Amino acid sequence: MPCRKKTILTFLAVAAGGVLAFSQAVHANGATVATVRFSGDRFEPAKLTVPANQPFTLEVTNADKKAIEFESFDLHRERVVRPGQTITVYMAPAAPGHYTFCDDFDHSVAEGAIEAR
Amino acid sequence: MSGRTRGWLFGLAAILAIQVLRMPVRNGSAQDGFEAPPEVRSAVLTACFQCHSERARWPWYTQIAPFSWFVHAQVEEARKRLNFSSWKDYLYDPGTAAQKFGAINQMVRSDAMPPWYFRALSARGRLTAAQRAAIETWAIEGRARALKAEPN
Ligand code: HEC
Ligand SMILES: [Cu+2]
Repeated sequence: MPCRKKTILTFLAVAAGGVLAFSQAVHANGATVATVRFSGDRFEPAKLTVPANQPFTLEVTNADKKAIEFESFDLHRERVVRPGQTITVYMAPAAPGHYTFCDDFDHSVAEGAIEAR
Repeated sequence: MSGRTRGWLFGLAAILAIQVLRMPVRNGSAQDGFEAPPEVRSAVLTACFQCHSERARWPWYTQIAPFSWFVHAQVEEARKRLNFSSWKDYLYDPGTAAQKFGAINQMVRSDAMPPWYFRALSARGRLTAAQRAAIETWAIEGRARALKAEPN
């Protein structure tokens, strides 16, 4: 493959990767915003991906009829979310890894996960 | 050997054997990022850090099985729910800070914390009325400040 073509292809691949990696909404201040919705007794999506080593915010919407406590023991966050409410959770830069969250009011609700990479 | 002696020896052997699974309290590497007015900080350091921090220092006799199993489980649960070594990280999210401040005030005011067995067994758990009042005021003010930053 001619060198120039290879460079262009590499550039395209990197650009595509970048777009994929940051397909979450990005705030004016540059922080990634991930969203999660609680309804029908479960978190949707159950797994989120965020960039590692950067602050991000998580918007949690409770579309259910009962209050939940969004809790991540791994990421040290604990927030009550009333029915119909959307809260913004500010997250400090996280090292690459797998972090779980749950409804601490109801442990029969399946855990969700945040993947920082 | 009398049945009684055999019983004692068996008991001793069993206690020695379970020391293999002693499960002592270990401290993580998290920094102590806990900042508060001096009287609050010293009261919390004395009465709460044994369970709610990575700076726990339990006397040796509490680290013998089976007591150590109980202590270990308590510290694990306590750190999961409130770890003063992660205090700065809580403050990063004002909504979380508001909840932690609120829970601290509630637990101290209602005498639920430190737990009754800790107060019974250790002088560290017996806060004076002034120390309790200092923690409560600090927690009420901290919660109000956090809620101003993130009303919810
Ligand atoms: C001997 C261990 C021990 C000591 C000392 C102790 N705690 Fe706790 N604490 C626990 C355990 C275990 C839990 C979790 C279970 C429970 O809620 O009873 C807990 C839970 C809590 C919670 C609830 C956290 C939440 O959001 O669910 C608060 C707040 C708290 N403690 C505050 C304090 C304060 C303030 C002090 C010091 C004045 C203190 N504790 C001292 C063991 C301890
Ligand atoms: Cu909780």
